[in-house]
Amino acid sequence: MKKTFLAFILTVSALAFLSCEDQVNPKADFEEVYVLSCIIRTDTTYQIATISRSYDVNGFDPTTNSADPFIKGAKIKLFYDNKVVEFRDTAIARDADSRYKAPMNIYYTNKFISTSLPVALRIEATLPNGKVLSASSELISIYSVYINSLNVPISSNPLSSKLNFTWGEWMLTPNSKGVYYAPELVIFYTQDKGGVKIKKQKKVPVFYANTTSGLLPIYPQIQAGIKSAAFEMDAINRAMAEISDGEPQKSNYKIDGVVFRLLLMDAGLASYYSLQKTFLDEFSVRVNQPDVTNINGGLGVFGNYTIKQINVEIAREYINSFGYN
Amino acid sequence: MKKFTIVLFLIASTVILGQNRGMLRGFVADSTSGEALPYANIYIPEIKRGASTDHRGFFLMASLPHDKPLTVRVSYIGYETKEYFMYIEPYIVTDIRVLLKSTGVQLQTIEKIGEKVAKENATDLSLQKLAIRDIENLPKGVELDIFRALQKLPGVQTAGDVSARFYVRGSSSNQNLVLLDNIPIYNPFHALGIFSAIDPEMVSSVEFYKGGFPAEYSGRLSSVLKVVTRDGNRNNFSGKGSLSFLTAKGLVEGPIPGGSFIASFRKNYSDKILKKFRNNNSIPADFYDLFAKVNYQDDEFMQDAKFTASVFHSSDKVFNNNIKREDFKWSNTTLNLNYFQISDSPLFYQVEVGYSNFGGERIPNESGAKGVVNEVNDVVMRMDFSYVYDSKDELSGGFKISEVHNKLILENFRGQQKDIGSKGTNISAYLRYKLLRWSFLGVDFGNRVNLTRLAGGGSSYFLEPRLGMTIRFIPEFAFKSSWGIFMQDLSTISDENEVVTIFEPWLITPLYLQPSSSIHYISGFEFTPTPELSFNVEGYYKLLHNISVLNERKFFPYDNDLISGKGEAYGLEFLSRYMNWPINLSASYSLAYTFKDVDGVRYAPRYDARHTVNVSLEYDFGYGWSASAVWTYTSGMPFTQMAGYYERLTIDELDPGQSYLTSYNPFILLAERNLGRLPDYHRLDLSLSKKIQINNLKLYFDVSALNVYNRKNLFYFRRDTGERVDMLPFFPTATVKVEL
Repeated sequence: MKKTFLAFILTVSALAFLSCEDQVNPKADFEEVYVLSCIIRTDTTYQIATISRSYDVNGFDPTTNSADPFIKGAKIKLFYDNKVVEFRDTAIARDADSRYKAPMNIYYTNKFISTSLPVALRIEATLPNGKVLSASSELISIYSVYINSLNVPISSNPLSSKLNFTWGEWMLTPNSKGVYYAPELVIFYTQDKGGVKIKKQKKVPVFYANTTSGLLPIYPQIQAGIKSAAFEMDAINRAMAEISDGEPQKSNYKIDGVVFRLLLMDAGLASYYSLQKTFLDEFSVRVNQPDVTNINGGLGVFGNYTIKQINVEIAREYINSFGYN
Repeated sequence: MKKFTIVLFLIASTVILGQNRGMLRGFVADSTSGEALPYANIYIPEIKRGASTDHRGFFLMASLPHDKPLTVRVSYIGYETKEYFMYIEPYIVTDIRVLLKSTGVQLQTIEKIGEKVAKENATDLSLQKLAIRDIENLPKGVELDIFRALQKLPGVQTAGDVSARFYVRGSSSNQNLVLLDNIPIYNPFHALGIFSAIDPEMVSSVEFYKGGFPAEYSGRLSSVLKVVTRDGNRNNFSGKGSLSFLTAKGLVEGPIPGGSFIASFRKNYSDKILKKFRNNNSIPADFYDLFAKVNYQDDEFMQDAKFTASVFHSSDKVFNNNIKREDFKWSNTTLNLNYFQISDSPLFYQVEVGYSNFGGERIPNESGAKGVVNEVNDVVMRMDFSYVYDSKDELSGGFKISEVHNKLILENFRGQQKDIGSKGTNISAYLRYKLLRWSFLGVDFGNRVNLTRLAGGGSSYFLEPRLGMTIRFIPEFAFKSSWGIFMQDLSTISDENEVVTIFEPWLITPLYLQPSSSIHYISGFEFTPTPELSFNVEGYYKLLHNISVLNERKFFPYDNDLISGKGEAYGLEFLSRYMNWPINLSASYSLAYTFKDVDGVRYAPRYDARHTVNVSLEYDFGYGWSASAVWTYTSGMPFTQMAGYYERLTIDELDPGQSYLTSYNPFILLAERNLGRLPDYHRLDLSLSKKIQINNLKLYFDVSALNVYNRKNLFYFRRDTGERVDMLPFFPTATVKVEL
């Protein structure tokens, strides 16, 4: 029986030794995929789009790729409100530190005229090889947006513990389900750095959350169907103080103004914008990265957005209380 | 379904009238410790009938002739066989208490005849019963581990060396119900899931249903692992201590007036060994578990009754002592009060109140990771009964009330926290009838009625009918089949893209989703040409509906965290065993196909291994020496390959002043999900054990070598670097145990 046991071990070991380390390629066959990116800003006639192709490299560092993936020669058309706007292709210079040395191929138009009507928006790109990429959306169809700021001016003795903003739209149709809102309160300021004046801006969180790792700034989220945003005065105070954090000479800072900005975007762009880098812990190992696209026949993003903003009054005595000008 | 339940009642009422022969009821225990011996064999040669003790050491044989003397032969692995010559009293239950003396001799042929006869019409398809002795003979590795022992069974899959989590017949690991003395444990793992939290020293027996489990079990879609703990030595005080490269542990047990107690404690003292499991990356894990149980069984105070109280606690911490890195902690706690009563008639019943708590937390510190707080508090009250008719048929039933409070606080990428947990009560009742009156046929049918859903309570009617059948055409050959519908209303939100997860947070299925359900169709046969040799073949087909899947396309706060998916699994399993002292050889092969369907995409999940082979050989050299070898082969697991890269527009802020022309960054282009396959996995583990006994002192030495031929089994690739991360390399280890 001892021989049986030994024979078993030897047999299994011999079998196993036949293949001690198999090689496997984490890469499948290269897949050629085209990427269309076009974000329409509805308050300007100038719009741009890009088309690139996927690529592969030897190894696993994509930054070693030097063959420019952005392609020219495609026909891009934008359809909306019974109009067709054609994009033109051109090339623009890249930054000096870009890994691609040739000018970047882009497509542009300066003939886009927005409409206050709720219209369908469609983009179609026909590539030089005949492949078609397309995407559909709805133009942000708001005739006008009004924003009220309550409890202003921002002062040392505020009327309320929160600074509230409400907004509404005049629309030709009551349907605004496809509109996503990203409210922002921004402090614009100038820093005097050795005589050099640097323009900067500071976003104000809605509040600071108490967490185990200290105070965490919480910013407004992108949401559909919301009509108001409230910023805690405490958050504004902290944001004002953080502007010159660690800087003893407060008078080097000048507050230029405060703006409440409302970004309105369609669902496709909102999804893409919301998809942020996923934070993992040290031990969890995630093998796939999240991705989102609304491009038929390829990857990328097609969406549109607009920005409405108002100046928010801020009291001089409040600015001075931080030592700023 | 109502008709199904009514029929069940009618059958029960027709046979309740026929008590006209004798019954034998017995309790089998170790003569030294008084500890119950689960799955001992009872055989009466005059009538060629047999039985097995249950996990409490009890057996009951009905419809015995009372007009002639019978030989009752009781045997158990490693114990002297005992024979009793007795007359069975008519119309009443004759009780017998059997104390067997340990010899260390292995199971002999005559005893297996008893086992074989006891199983002749048992509806035990997909059921594996393991006494702790069966598990102890496997290579211990770093720690003897029940979960890892299960992974050697056909149909049970693992995600790799680094995890004791198991996947049964194409189901995810959260679809396995793990019961410790009937109380569920939600995360029974230590050290990132590398080891199970249940110390085998406290275990008496294990019952493992791979599918088609009967109506008394509920709450999971796939399998049931029922761990029954020991009662402790009723006669003498004794203690055990053991040391491995990872943990030190101790156990004390002994008598108390009218009963016994047992207490065990295990603690890791080093995390160095864990690095081997993670490609030499440090795991600063600190864990312990403890278990204590008292039982009281005094016939003067409570006749034929037994009261037990037990507590279990496991705690894990992974603290990095670095504010830039996140910390983790999680724990399980169970409390159990059980009252078990044997009545004068062939009736057993038990009343049980239990509590299970799981708490887990990811503390992000300043790492950039997101915090998670998860808590499950489950209070269970249940009553079960079992009645054996003179016809040998059995009726059992019961009800269960489970109050679950669940908290799951998640933090989104903007730092906002939200508790998406809920609380509720599940009320259910079941009835089960086992038709065992004919030796060639066994039919087990039952039904469980769930009256409420956990999420928000309220009424929600869900039936879980179950059916099992065994037809023994000839003594050597039996055909078995089972079918059932299973429901699960509490699951984990595990990210399938993560190959290593610290803990999987539990969540009551929200009301916007239907409870998950599955249907099992299982058939197979058992062939035992000789008492030493057996072959089992099982085929299964499993459908999964409404399985809760993490919503990978949750972009906005109001998007649901979970979405509903479907699943399908089917396969064929072969198991052969040859047990003839000093050899114990088993070989198994499983062919399995598993698919998930989420968001219209059908893919094979990570644990879909097409072919699995396990070969295990144990050899007893005598004089306390024994050796074992286990070889495991699994064909490659699925993974998603890369198909290239593309330039992706990155929008940090939708700022009016930002130019998107320079905001392109390389992004990995993935091929179709899980279409690639990792290389095959195989590994050979060897173990050599020596037992030395000096009077009452027993010493156990075990030397194991894991992955003896240093197979480089691939765990995963790092996509950013292409670095290959392998599983456990060649790894020698040893344990020593002292028992007094």
